[in-house]
Amino acid sequence: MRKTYLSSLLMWAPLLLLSQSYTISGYLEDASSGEKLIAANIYDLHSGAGAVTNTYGFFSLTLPADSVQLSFSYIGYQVVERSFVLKENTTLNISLSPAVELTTVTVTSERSERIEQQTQMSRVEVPVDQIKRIPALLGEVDVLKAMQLLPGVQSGGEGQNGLYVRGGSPDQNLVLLDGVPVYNVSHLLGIFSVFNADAIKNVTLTKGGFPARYGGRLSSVLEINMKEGNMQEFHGEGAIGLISSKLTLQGPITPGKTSFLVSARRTYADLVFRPIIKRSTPDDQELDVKLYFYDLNAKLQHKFNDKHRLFLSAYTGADVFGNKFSDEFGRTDGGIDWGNLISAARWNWQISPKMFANTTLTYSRYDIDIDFAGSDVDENGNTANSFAALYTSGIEDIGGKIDFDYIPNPNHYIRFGAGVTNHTYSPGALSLKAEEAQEVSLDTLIGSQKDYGDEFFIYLEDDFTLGALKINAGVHASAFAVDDELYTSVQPRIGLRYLLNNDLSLKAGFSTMTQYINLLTSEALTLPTDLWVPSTGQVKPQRSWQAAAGIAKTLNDQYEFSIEGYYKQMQDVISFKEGASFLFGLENDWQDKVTQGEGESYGLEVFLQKKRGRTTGWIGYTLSWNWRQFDEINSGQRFPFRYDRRHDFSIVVNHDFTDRIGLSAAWVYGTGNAVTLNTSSFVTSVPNYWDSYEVETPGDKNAFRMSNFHRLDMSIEFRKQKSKWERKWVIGVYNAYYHRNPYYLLSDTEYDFDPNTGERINERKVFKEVSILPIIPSVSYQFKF
Amino acid sequence: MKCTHLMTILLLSSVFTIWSCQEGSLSQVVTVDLPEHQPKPVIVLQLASGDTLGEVLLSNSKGITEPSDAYEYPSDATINLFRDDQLLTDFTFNTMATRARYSANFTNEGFSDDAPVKYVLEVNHPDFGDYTITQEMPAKANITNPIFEQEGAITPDGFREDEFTFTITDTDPGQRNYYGIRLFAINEFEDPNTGVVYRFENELGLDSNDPTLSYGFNYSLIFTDEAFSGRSFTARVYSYFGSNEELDYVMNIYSLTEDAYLYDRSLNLYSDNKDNPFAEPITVHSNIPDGLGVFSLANVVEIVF
Repeated sequence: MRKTYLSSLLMWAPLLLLSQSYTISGYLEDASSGEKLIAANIYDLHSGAGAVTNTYGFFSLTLPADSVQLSFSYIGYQVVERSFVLKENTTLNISLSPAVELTTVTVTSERSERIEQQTQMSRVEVPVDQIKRIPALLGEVDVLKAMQLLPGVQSGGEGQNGLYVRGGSPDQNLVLLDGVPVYNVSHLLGIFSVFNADAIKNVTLTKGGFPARYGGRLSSVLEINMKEGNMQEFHGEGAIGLISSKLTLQGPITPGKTSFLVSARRTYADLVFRPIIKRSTPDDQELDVKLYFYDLNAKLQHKFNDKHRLFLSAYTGADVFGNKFSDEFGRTDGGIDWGNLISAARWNWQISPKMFANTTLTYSRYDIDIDFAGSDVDENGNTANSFAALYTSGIEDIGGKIDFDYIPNPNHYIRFGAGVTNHTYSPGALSLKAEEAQEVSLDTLIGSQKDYGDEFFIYLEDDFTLGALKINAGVHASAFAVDDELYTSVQPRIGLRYLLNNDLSLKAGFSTMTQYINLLTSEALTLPTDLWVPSTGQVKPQRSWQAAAGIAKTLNDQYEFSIEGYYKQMQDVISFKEGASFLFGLENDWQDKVTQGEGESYGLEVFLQKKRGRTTGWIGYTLSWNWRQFDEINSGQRFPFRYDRRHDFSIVVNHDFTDRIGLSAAWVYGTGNAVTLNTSSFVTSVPNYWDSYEVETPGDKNAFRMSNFHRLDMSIEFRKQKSKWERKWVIGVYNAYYHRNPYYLLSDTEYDFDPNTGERINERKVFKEVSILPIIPSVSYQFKF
Repeated sequence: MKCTHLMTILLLSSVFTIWSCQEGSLSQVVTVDLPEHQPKPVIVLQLASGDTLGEVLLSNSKGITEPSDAYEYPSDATINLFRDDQLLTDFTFNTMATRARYSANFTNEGFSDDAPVKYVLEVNHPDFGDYTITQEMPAKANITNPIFEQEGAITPDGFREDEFTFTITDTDPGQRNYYGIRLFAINEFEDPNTGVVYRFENELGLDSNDPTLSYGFNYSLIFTDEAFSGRSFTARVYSYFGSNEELDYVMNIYSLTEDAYLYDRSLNLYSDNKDNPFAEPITVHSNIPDGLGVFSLANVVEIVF
């Protein structure tokens, strides 16, 4: 038998030698800026083999030694072709030029990796240019609000930017900025996101069918990559808006070698109100008020050679509220600040034409400080008594990971890697200090001490092709060490794509996920004071599994169309015990106030997207159900999640009438949020109150619905190309036809009065819906050079 | 774009915005289908040492839209209070029924401050059912060094207010203890004709810059000994009411049972948040099995400033 194998091998050996293969590898980049192009397509017209660039614009395509005709294409860019005889490993760095706008340049969409060709399902990439066109509240372009318009993604309350993906809660979204987790994604209590669109290169949301390289959250991965900085020329862009202004500068430090990008945004409510407050304050008093938020992004890129690149990126941003008062008797100073600091160092190394490595070191921190200090001043002007309180809470991560891409041939794309993150949790600590007559009368620290956790993961996945069938199979294994507990998890992942014909494919995916971090928050409103806490010996990690199946099709080379059904089960999701949130305080361990239960969500998503041309945009529809069950909530009965939304519909349209005028519109419709209402009341007596006191008590959890909501936002752009720069006026209107979308539902008492005497003759309890955002116009001036 | 066009667009937008923000335009009455309500019993008895009168409320819950007369106040219940398994007193329905309470008088010295002592409240009614609730009287607080200083405190708004400080010592570090504070201004005057001295107590509200102390409902401030377990703690509180040197000030510091503390805190939070649409619905704490209300005890220490 063994002899038979050997003879067969010898017989085929000459043929194997003849079919010698070589690898073409390199980078695809924007010709004008040097920005790497992600998910661009490389296609050999002779063999039909192709490849796609990775997150760093790198590609590798191994082909038999022969003449090749390569086509390099990317949406919105002109196609580049190269023909040559492949007789050795070849490096090709290709620059693509943007297609001339508003002309009929044909871009080879049929040669791009189209939606039906991708193994990955439940993944949406929205071009940043489209995001920037979507009409925005007060003209503040918002990446997260753009994501809310996608199927499978629910918004929270009106105007909020929380993401509820396929029945998950906001803490189940892994938001990555240049690969670093971002814990607080909002400014101004969730109204604006921390991401400055001018500094962003691309945004990708994965809702399910997670490849093995992702882990750590149950519901979604939102990858946001910052621009790298223009390697060729100095450029800038900025905007002056109603509430904030921003400026982004980028350019080469050493052309072709080193580039930088700096982007800043700041609101100016405090600058407007400070003089007014100062004028209205008596002369013998001083009052200073702070009220603003800011973002600062920076990035440095250095290309050592074709094989080595280094990226240093950082983001910091914060909300600052505070007031300071002083007079002849003393002074007080207090406020609340919260914000993120995120930094990453990434090293790209092209180990060989077939292997690419990315090593990332990350540091991130989110913290919130609430402070108050007061002191008395004696007749001599010296501080007599003083008191200071500082509440701090936050989370700090230090981590590293290494990811490898290995592309042995066009039929396999192997990824593997490992990472470790050290988490430091500060789930709320209060320090108090008081001095009386120069002596310390109180100096104490109350609340939880810091918790530490170490998270490890390794993964392996292969995207391989078997004829019309393409499979992405892999496994993600993770471990979490906290206190004396070690949690481990092995999470198998698989995604399938079967091409029915050139334009249509069937897709399916299955993934399991484990999450070792929780956000203690109210369902009604996400606040900066919400606490990030780890899984502990008492609180188990959250787990989920999700299965999805659907079809994907490209229509007329213009439209991407997909239908997906999904089913997701979540175990050990976390919630406050009934009535516990209000008892959450320093005297209680947070672990005693939470309970764990199960979640279930299922639904159907329809998505039709057009990414280029004079008219772009999408239509999304979601039909979904979303449940929770906790033994200690709602008497153990299953109840709808607050953001259980049966129907969710959105249309986004951007249309350019000419190269100078463009119109954008977004219309959304959704089933009303589930709410808990007080359904009964009782009278209680209080020892020192002569009258009884009536108390209302809640009914079944989330048993009621607010009215359905719908809203139209519109904006119009007036562009003008000057000799050396471009300017743009953007005029927008939020809630254009003024629909009173309910933000909350409350009970109220209405009275009837005798028309003759004016006396109250009757009273009745009614329920009222209150909306907070009427028609809101906006204008901003934008420029680019 | 011409400046006049821009101004026109902005002007029109502003007009629409102002119109859409008019009073009442942001809220609307909606119809909500509520399920039929199943009434629950309500029992409330809160006793403090020194009380000469104890009152029990027995009633029922009603649907939120039902009229007030859906509340029932049965007069034929049997209500007994046991001390260390011995009947201490029974409560009889008060025929002066405006408050519809069952009441019991304690001796002239008032309800006992002995601690720890177990008390059991039993309520029996043919329609409302039978209920047994147990509480243990907590020990009195260990208070020293009370100080009153006129305008001794400065509020977060920069105002000077009268300050009261006292030191409380936790002597059992392994045990969580709960406290409440109330302040009274005592005004006595003698009738010149009869020589009779009249005494009036006016309760004054209290506040503190110290986050260790939080607001209560029946008690001005409440706190636990979490922050000073096994140690002493100087509490600094102030009153917004202007002081009068002719008045005496009496501060009552109550040692509370856990149920008393949770009930008072939740009732206050309910009161504070009942019109707050962003707050989670608050269920007022209860230790009545399958019912609503509370049976709780407090042991009071009186400090004169």
